[in-house]
This record gives sequence, C-alpha cells and structure tokens, in this order.
Amino acid sequence: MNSHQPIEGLVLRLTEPVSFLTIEPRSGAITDQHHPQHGLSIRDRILMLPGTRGGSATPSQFCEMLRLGTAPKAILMPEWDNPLCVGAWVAEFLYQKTIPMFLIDRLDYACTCSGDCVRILAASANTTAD
Amino acid sequence: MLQLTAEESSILAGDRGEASKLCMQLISIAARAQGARRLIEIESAQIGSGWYSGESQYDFVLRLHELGARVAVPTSLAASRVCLTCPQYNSDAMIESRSTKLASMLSDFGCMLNFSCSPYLEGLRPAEGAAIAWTESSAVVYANSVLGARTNQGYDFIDLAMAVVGRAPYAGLYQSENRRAQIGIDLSSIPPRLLDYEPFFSVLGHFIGKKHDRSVPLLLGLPPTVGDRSLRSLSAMLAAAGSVRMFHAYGVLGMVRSEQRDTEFPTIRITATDLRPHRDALSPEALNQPLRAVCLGAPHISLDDISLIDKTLEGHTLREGITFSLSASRATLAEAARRGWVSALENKGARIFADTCSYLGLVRAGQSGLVMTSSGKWAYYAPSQYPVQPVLGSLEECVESAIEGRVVRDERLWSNDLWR
Repeated sequence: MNSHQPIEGLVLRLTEPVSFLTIEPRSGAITDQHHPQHGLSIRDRILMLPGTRGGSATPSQFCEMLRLGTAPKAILMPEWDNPLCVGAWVAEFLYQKTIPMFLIDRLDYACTCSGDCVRILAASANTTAD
Repeated sequence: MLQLTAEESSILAGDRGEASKLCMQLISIAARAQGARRLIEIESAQIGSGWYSGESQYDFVLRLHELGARVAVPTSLAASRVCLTCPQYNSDAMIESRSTKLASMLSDFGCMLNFSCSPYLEGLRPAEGAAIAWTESSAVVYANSVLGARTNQGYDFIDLAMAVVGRAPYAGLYQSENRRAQIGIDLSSIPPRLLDYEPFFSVLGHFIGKKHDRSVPLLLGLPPTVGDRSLRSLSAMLAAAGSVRMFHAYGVLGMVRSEQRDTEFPTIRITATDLRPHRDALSPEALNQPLRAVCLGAPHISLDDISLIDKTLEGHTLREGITFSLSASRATLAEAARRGWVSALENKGARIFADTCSYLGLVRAGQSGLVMTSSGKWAYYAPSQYPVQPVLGSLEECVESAIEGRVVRDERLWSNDLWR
C-alpha cells in the first residue's frame, strides 16, 4: 500500500459512505439509487470516501475490483476504513495486486471536489503503519 | 499499539500452522485499522463465507482450505447465494457449483451448515454480555440490542479469520464505553397505532440510519409489548439504511435491560411528520399498479411468522399470477415441514427457499412491477437490483394481498392524517 511514485488523477469525492455491494465490479459504477453519486464510476479515479457501510461483502467486492483491474487509482479517506484495509490486504496476498490508500485531513477532504485533478506526492503513508 | 498475548504471538509466528498464521495476520491488520490495543476471545462466530460473492471470496476460502484451516469456536453460517436444498430454483450453474463447493469446504473447517440470517431464531442465542463475532448485519444489531451480546459487524475474510483464531480486535462494541447511548429518540409524539404497526419500525430504522448514522440511539416511549417481528425489522433497517449496529430501548419485553439512564446525551422528540420522507422512500405511493409478487424473509423469517402465514392463508388460495416467495433457514423450514405448513404453502403455489434470500425468487421469475414485502430491508435494496417497485405492509397484509391479488393494507396507517 506504499506509494513512491506521485499519483495523478481525477477525483471522485463521495458525500456519503457507500456500500460496495452496490458497486458493479466490472464497471465500477455505483448502482445504489439512494446514493448521491449514483451512476458514477469509481474506476481509475482518485476516490475520496467518508467510509463504507452496510453489506459484509465490502472487502471481497473491493478485492474483486483489484483482481479485475477495475479499482480506483488511489483512495483517500478521513479515517482508515477497516473493510477496505482488509480487502486490500487479501488482494495483495492472493493476487499480488496493490492500491495506494491514504488518510486525508478532514479539511482537505471538505475542500476537494469531484473533477479536481490532484497529484499525491506522499511517499510514506501506509494503512498498517507501525 | 497492538499488544498480543504470548499465545497470540505464537499463532502469528506459525506455531498452529499456516492457516492460523494467515488469519492472525489479517486480524492484526484489522485491529490496527480500528486502533485496537489488544484482541478479545470470542465464544462463537457467524460468518458470511457461505455466500459466493465473487472469485476473490472463493479463492480466499479455497486457499485456507488448502492450508487445512479449522474453526476454533462454534461457527454458524449466514445465508448462501443459492438454495442448496432446492436446486430446482437455481438458475446459474456456476454460482451453484461455487456455492456447493464453499459449503463443502466450510464443513471441513468445522462450520455448522445452517445458512441462517437469524441464528437467534434457532437457539443460537448468546448470553447477555458474551463476546461473539457475527456477520449478518441485522443479526448483529439484534444480538447487541435485544440479546445484549457484544459484537461488531463482521466482514468477508475477517469473519472467517476470527472464527479460525477465536479472537477479534478489541474495539467498537466489545468495549462498554462504545455501547452507551449517544442520542435519545423520543417517540412519545408518535400515534400509538403506528407503534403497534410492524412496517413503522422499518420506517423508523430508515430515519435513524439516515439521520443518525453510526450512532447508538436510545428509543424512548416504545410500548413494552413491541413484538419481536418489529424489533427484527428495526434491526435490519438500521443496518441497511445506515451503519447503526446497536440501539437501546427502555422497558420492552424480551429485550435486555439497559442500565444507562443519564442525561449526557441530547434527546430529540420526533413526530410522524419527520418520518414521512422515510416512509415514502421505502414505500412510495404506486398502489394503482397491479401487484406482481409478494416476497417475505429478508432476513429469514421465524417459525411464528410461518405459522401466521399458514393461519392467514387457511381456507384461501394465492391469486393466480402472483409470485409468492418466502425464505427461512433450513432448521426453521424443517420444523415448519414437520408441522405440515411447508407442503400446505407449496400446494398453494408458494415458492419456499432455504439457505438463501427471497431475492432469488425474483431472479428466477424475471419479476418486475409492484412487489409487496414486510421487509424494509428488502424494500430498500431491491429497486437497486431489479426493476421493481416495493410496497411495504405487515406480514398479514402481505399474505392478504397475495390472496386478493392487489395491495391490501390498512391505508389509514399510511395516510398523512396519521403521519403528523
């Protein structure tokens, strides 16, 4: 989950936690009609999300996207999301697929918009740092 | 900083084999992500590994199976993706074969092949205060709130890992300080007739899940006679519309007593007007469309529920053209079959599923249009997956609607005259 190369990409910022059960693993589209970002795809985005909710299948759905190569380019979140950390670990264990995931300051989170192009320079962030 | 005991460290070092080592690594990752400082021993587990959710999930179980994994505590299974005991209803051979193989591997692990959303309905009722690790989201809320056991929401991979190691990260709802109520929800302004109506609890769960997500609410003003069916509906909806894992209520019969009665948290008094948008989100007005189906059992229904369905249907038939599906666990259905209810229902054309969810009935029937259900959770999720328009009703109303072939509800209970 470390990243030593800067990562550049377009932001998709979710305004509510999302259930990965309602993300179509092949397209990355959010299919939950109740979600404010319904219909948008998280694939290849710098995904900013406040967390995940619902369905206990979140880690495996996320792992599946990593396996298929349809995952976001990177994930920024205000606090570590346990199911995503677990899913990422298993993807690395089973398939040697990794994704950079970082904590982001809540203010920075609030000040970034979907469609912004960001470059992540951090080199030392790690979900399991210690 | 996570501190492991000597025994846990030896598991992590591989002294109990590769499978346990791997599971302990995974639990350590999760523990650190949650900021846990230690692990806690669990008495039992309920895991979701029987639900085929994709190749990753399957590959993980397969890998652990190759490594000879065994569960360390009594472990039951949440629902399967298919009905393993009624293959005639399964439409996807690949998913069926994967699900069968998962069941066989999990049996080798020492899991109980019960495939139940609601293990508490079949005697798996942990004692008050017991640390457990359950995974079906409605059962998690029910176990924490009604039974007073302690569990966090389990997830794929980590749930199996916890069962294999018999430990969970000591965080969240294992810790007493996180189980204290954070907000009071005063229901004294809600008309008593609504508090006596099962679908109201789905609406209430939707409101709390959306407006007070991730909180531990204390419900004030519930009548002591609130039925178990309503508590199950509330539990399911809190976890579907939001990530609420626990609630408190005072004085409800059959619920553990909450000791907390302080004023450290704010209390809001809600009215039925506040709840209207949530009522409409779950059950929009569309009643002039023809009714296509009735779906019951998400989460799995109880023996009492099947008894009520049987009684309501007595002397009646299901209207032709209405798909009537219900799902319950194997154990519940075995008992219902022994009492003659399963054959009575099937003779009337009901589709009865074990192991899986009544969603499956829709896939098979290619259902669209108006579908009536007593499950708020079903009403919440189904429109995202199928071209259906759900309408909520009580269990009895659902059965009466299936008999009449149209939506039969006490519409006074849905009119704005009452919701104010």
